[in-house]
Amino acid sequence: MDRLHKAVDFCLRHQTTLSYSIVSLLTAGSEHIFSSVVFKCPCNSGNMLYGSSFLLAPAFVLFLLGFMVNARTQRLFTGKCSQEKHLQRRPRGTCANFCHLLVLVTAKASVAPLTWIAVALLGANFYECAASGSSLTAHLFCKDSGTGTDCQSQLFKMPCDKKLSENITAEWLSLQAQSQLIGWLLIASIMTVALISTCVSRCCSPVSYLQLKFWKIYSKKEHELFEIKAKEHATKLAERNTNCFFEATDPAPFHTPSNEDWQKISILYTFNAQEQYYSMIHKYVSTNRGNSAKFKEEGQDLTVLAFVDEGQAS
Amino acid sequence: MDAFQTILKFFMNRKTAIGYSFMALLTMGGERVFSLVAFRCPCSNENFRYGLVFLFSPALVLLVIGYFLNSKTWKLFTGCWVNPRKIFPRGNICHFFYVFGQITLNALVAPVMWLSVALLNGTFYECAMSGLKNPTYLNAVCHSKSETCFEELHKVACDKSSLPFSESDELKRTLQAQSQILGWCVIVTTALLSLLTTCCASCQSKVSHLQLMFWRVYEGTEKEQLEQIFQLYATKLSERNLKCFFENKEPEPISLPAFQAWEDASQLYSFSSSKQHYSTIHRLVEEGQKGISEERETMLDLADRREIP
Repeated sequence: MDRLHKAVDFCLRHQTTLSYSIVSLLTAGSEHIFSSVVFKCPCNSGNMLYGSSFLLAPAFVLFLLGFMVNARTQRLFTGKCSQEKHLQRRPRGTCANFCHLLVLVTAKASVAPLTWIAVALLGANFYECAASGSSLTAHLFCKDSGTGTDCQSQLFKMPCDKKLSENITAEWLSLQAQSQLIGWLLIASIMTVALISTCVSRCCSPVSYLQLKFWKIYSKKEHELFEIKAKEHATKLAERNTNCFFEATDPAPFHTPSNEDWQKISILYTFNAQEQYYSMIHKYVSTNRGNSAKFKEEGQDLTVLAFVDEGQAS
Repeated sequence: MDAFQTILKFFMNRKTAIGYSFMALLTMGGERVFSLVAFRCPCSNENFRYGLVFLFSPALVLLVIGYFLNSKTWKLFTGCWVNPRKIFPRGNICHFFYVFGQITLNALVAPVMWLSVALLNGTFYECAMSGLKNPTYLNAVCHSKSETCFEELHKVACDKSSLPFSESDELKRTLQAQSQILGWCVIVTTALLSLLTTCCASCQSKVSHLQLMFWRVYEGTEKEQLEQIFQLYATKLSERNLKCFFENKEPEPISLPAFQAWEDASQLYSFSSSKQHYSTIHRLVEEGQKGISEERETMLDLADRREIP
């Protein structure tokens, strides 16, 4: 029992890494299933369309799903087009903040599609089918032989016939080898870009390492407690309402935060070196429930502090 | 015990994703079973009708089941014959279509999943399109094949045509490729449309993000509380009635909501930005019955949109 408890604790602490790994494993697994069960190259002029649709359509769908699932997307969009005046953010600096957040959300949503493309390229089936139908490959492989259309139709049949593909691509890299090379290059470049961007964002962090560590733990705890308290508050309110409905009595006064209060704590967090607020709720509580002028002071939008607004499951 | 609680909580937090994945797996399994066990392409001129029926009827059935299982449908339609003003309130005719549209969008998830899985598999489409007698389509498919292709395309799905093996194999592959590309188009279009509607809905929300989150929690809790209080009062009332019946006593009074109160509480909730009510019962309790019949604004009820039927 104790070991199980330790294992669960370990899983919860490294939740992010584990969830990314599981997503990658699932993507790799489904790519394998697709390419062995569903994918059948037609071996005619439709090769290019067929192969690219299997390569790119799932990636696009995973990208869109990544957007929808990310809690920040909702934070980004909630209330922006609404008629309510108090939900509109002040125009100064809004565009830059919006773009910054959009880039962060896009980066997070790109994990699954890039995994799919990398695994699909390493598997080589989709690329082989698509490339055998492309005019670029025809140009590369057919420039020696005189008759264009005959060579082109031979190329179309390549994914269905292994001997044919060996004959045609004897002097060059076979299409499968090309695909795997591109796949490895993609993986290597993604890793490099990820490493560089993390280094740069950490480098530009105005807070120290230990404070950042504390801040992350504080954010997580605050989100957990928020959910617990919200559930408690909702239970009390619901109990009061349903009892009053059934007993036809007047409701006892019950204080719940007003719409403006909710609005104040939903604003996206910005960092200000003068103050030391670890979240919008902290800021709200420390500035006289958001009524003092200090509450309205804006700060910087930093990538390294992106975790402050995350964590609220939608 | 504590560890199990944590694991359970983890899964409960992701119950939407788990629900949709389970539905997708179920659809895939069902489609496999159908295409292996029940589906037998007739390989005659009836191919087109047979294939289309297998493609679209399960989708229709899933749509109807989706309507049935959504509690909002029943909330909308219960009592509408007796009092048509309920679904077409004065000055707000579009409200019915708005809510019905939301219910339809929720119910369309399963049929679209079925269609995409069936198209990606290719069996039904292959059978259907091999029986299509449209000259343009036949020209496109048979354009570099022998003359018999035009007459015997419908036999290709069962391998009973007189075409050489390489040609019939290529025809089958072409039809399957068309089906799979169409399937991907359906999936991509659906994903794009759902992202756009989610973003538009979020954009037009009149409340902030955290309040919306609290609102969802409140709705879930209120549902639970209503269930509990229904059970409690039903037990009390039936106990009293049966006791009085068997023991021939006078019944003691138990207060229950009046008919009009039930009617008012059953109305679909619409948000009013000037007040802070989280549900119809909340508004009823705070304002009394006259509050319900006043003019009100509508809002996309985001919390209910995500309901899995």
